Amino acid sequence: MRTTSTMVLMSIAVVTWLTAGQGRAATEFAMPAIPGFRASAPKTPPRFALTVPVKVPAQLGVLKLAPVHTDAMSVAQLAETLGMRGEVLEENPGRWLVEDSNGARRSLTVFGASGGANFMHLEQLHIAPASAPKLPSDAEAYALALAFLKENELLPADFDTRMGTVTFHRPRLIERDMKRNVNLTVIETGVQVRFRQYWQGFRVSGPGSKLYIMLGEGSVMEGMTRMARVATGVDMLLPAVSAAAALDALGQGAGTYAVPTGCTTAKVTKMEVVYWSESPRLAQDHSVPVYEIGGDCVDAQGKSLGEFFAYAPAAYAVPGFEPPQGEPRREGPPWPMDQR
Amino acid sequence: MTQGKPSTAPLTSRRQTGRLLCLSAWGIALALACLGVAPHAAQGAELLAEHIEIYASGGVSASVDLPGCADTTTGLVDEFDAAGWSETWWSNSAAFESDFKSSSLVGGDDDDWADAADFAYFCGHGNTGLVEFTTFTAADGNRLLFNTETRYGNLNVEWVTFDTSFTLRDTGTNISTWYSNAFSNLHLLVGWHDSPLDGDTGGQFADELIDTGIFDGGGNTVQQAWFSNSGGCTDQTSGTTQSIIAEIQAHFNDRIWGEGSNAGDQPNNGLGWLSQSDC
Repeated sequence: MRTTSTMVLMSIAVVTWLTAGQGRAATEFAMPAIPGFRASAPKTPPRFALTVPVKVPAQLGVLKLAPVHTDAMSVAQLAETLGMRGEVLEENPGRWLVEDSNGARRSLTVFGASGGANFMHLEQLHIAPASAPKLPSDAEAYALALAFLKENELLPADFDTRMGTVTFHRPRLIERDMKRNVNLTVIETGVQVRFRQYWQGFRVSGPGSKLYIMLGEGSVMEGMTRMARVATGVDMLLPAVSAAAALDALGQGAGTYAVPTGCTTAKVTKMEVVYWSESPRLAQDHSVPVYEIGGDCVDAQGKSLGEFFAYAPAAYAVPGFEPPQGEPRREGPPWPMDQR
Repeated sequence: MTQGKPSTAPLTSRRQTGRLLCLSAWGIALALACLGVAPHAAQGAELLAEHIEIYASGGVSASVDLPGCADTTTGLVDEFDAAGWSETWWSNSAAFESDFKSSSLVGGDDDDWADAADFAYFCGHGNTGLVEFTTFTAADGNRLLFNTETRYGNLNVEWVTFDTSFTLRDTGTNISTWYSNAFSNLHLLVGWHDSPLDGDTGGQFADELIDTGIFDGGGNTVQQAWFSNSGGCTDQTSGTTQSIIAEIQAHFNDRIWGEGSNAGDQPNNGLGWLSQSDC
């Protein structure tokens, strides 16, 4: 049985930026507690080149988030809404589980710290099909997903349901002749309808903000992911960091990035302020804005290497911040051997 | 190689925890708990887990340290242990590049480590077509494991996971190079097309893979466990793409030993499968 830490109280990381020639602590940034990417870093950071205009207001708010209370009763209610019957178990501290006793193999996992839920029809979801399933069109999937969420009162008010903001994802199985590098068969296994959350006019990002419906063969709902914290208002205002200053800071160690090997220049084609919603496993009472950045990397010869991803500070810290807690380190048995 | 049961050949000279720990001196209550997992126990099944937390602070890499790798590997090992697997778990400078490198190559030793296990897991840094270690033997020449240097399943292992960024990125040649080299009766190679954040990937993955008893969920297929937002995707942002390579389509429905059936070993026939899904 695993134990999961759930004690994160404040999601503000004050990052000290050591600017060249200016000594320590020239600027302090307010950053969410975003873990680093697991991407090998080059010895010299790439140059981040902004290629798009980025608008940001003079000030950005730190938002207060509503407290979350999850118990067996609230989990049972959600299970019932999803047509499940089964005992509610707390399989790990803070991780609730319902497995259907209704005949079908279905499971519902609820993370107590955030109320985030994941429902899976285990006989269908991500099971490799014998033949290509008959899937709904994007428009049909959108209508079905929206109707389901509305009818069951599972649609939070701060998610945008307009068709233009919804994204569709179709997981794929590909049979490939690996010697010739040619695809022989491509099977779309489902249609995922994804809704976006907005706070104060900014998109919410991070693992704690997901609202998906997955439809499979015959438009059957195979899965639902609903991670949706609630913002209750602005707690304090912070001076905003310009996009150019944020990219400079990123190159000097503030924030995190993942670039392909050989990347010397990262061409920024997407850069927007988002609010960060942490892992659904963790409690979070504030949300801090951050720049979410993407684009294409090129090597020294200008050859495209593919996408890169980054987060950079969008706000300066001011006095009054609580120091960041971060996720506490996990306690475990002293098994890993570091000598041999 | 395995058909219908895990291997019985142990990872010799390694610490075997799991069941021994369960039955040592923890008293009747714990013994009963151990008995409680008996229906799910994977007798003889072996896990090789390796993680690297210390990168930049160790002075040999420019890559940032990864505390999440240490924590999530703890979660993964806990879960496999509860299901009765034997574990070998190397960390930081004791995680050798050679452990995952084909024994058929100079400096490779996977027949004693990754390929001697049934399920092998590594958490650390990666990039397109490679995995970054911090320790290597002189014969290896470097601390990066490349997709051309692997061959799994010729001895034993069924499932290998590289919980590292971009390693299974579908650039075309990257996936086919992994397949052409790594698949030698291997069932699944599990990893990331995109770059995961250093969160609880492996622990949540294992939670969905393994059902340790009536108070636990899991027991799902490897693909379900990896793609699930209560599994490998739990701590990732929307749109982060995962990859799994399989020898045959049926391998995507494999359950690990003790959790259900799998499609058995299949030789490399040059036609592989790639499954991709977004978190």
